Amino acid sequence: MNEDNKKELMIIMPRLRRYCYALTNNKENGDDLLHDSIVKILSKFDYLKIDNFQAYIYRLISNTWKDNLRKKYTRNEVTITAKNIENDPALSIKNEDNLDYISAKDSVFEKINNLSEKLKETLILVTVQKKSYKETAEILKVPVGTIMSRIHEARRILTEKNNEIVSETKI
Amino acid sequence: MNIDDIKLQLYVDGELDKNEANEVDKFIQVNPAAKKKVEEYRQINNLLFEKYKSIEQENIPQRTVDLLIKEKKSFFKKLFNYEIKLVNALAAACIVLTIFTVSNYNFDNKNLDNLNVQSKTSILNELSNIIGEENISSLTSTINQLNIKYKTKREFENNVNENCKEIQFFDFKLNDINIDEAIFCEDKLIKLKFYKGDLKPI
Repeated sequence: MNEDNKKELMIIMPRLRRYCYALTNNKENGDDLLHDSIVKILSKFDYLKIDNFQAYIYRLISNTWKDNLRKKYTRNEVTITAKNIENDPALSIKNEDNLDYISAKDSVFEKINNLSEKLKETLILVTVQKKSYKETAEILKVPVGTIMSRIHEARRILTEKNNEIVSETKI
Repeated sequence: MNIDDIKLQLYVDGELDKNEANEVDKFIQVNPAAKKKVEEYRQINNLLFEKYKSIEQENIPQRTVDLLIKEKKSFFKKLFNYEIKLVNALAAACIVLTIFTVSNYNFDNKNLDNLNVQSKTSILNELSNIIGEENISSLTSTINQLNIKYKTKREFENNVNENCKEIQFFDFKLNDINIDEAIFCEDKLIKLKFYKGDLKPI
């Protein structure tokens, strides 16, 4: 990897870290994912022809995350995401009077972890990483139309379940 | 005016041009259900963005930064620094590699090992990254049935102290893809060398 690539990588690393954190929903696991991905990038980079450096790195992180998930499933080491959410200070309740908002918020964070890998990575790229549909399509190597339908499906699931929780709170 | 959920979604994600966005603006002012949907979509966007944005302000773990700062190109990396996607470049590289390989390694079937399932899967994943998932799906069942033989060329430790193994395959062919060599570190595939067609000279 040449110095220009390294500089670019250093500049975007905080954003890549945010992506890793969002995918794993856990800071430590996110940092491990980032580390593993950088190791892979450094070991493979010189052998590949890469047209879009950033898209390649995002794709490599996504693939590493999916590989790790599969390994965890085969070893029965999947963490209980709801518990992580409960203990995560970033999710601490700020407005105790707004029960609907709290329920909706908890529901979204809990349910996003139940989305399929494809829906989750697509939604995170668009909403957390603020990537356009075109950029997301390039990263995931799928057509823009697929991104559109994945985002729609993810939001449908989240809002559907979200509404259910809000209704329960009102009852 | 026909504005469906997809268009509302594109509106929230900033994917519409100015005129279309103005149309949606007007539409949601007179359509409470659409307005509610837009608010729900925006709420999801905001919740997710706000939760994860704070980590950007924190320092990157030093061990990860060190990977970049301390990266040094090994002799091996320099030697094999070529573009595996270009068939023409591969043909030239294969000449050098074959001479090197033939002169140094004589395959003895008695001393070959069998590639395990996990390594096969890693190779398939890597190939799908390079040549596309749609091209690789047909190869999955083939590779699982194959008894793939390899010989270990060398063993070494990488810069994060993982045990690594450089291996050479014996007659490992998937359709028109000939898989030649690989490096695994702790079961992770680090490098894969392959060529398409019968370009590798004997």
